Amino acid sequence: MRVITAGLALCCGCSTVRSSALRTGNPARPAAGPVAVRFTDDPTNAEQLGIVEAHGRRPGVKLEEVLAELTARVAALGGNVARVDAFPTRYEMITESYTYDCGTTQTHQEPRSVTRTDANGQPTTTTEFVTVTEHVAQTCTGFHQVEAATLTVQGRAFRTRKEGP
Amino acid sequence: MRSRLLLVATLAAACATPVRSEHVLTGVARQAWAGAVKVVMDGAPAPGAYDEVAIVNATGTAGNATLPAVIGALQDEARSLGCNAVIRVRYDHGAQSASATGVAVWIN
Repeated sequence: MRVITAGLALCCGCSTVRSSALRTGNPARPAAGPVAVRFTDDPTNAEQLGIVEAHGRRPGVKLEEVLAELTARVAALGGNVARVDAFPTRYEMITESYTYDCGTTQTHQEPRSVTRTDANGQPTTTTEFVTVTEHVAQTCTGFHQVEAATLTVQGRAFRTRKEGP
Repeated sequence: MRSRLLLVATLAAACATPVRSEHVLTGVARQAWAGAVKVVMDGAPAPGAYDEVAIVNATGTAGNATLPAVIGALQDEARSLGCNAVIRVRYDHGAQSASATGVAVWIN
């Protein structure tokens, strides 16, 4: 039972994006505007607000979803620029559950009343046993090892300072 | 004989699985580029001036879980966005699949 729970739990996280953030700068109100994404250089004249990461199991989760989650985290910290520092993909073998039809065929004897007319024209009722075969439906849970890839996008949240007058 | 045929069919199916690629625009895409696409691995010095266009990713499985197949697909994805280079390319692989992620750019 413990194994089944673990298997189902692993499968439940197949297509969700998860994320986390850590504020390292001054508190700021969540930003409502767009968040720019930069991969190769820090924004100029900007304050770093925190560290952010988003990850998801591939291929169920799309790159777009992971990046959208990252920018949402940046906005929640009050940032308007996401500086992406790394985007590693980690591979691991996991246990996944699956269900399959494991129904069986069962045979048993069933009584049946048979009425026949004898030579004198009199009806005679007798009980006979007949063989009945039926399919007993059943769903079983199996487990197998599959390779899972997790894409993580890590970066920092920045808030650009407004230019002076 | 039957098991051999099954093995050949399985291998053929595995090799035929195309490399999946995708991108997310973070800049402005251009018209598709027909020329060569330079690949700069993560950690290697990036070329001079460039414009960031998108983050690109390619994933290959089974027979396509190879460096040439995955990087080739990454280049094709960048080419379709009008980019002439992919920089900060990171290549990761497992037992059955491999992927590469990078930043598609236009080197001025």
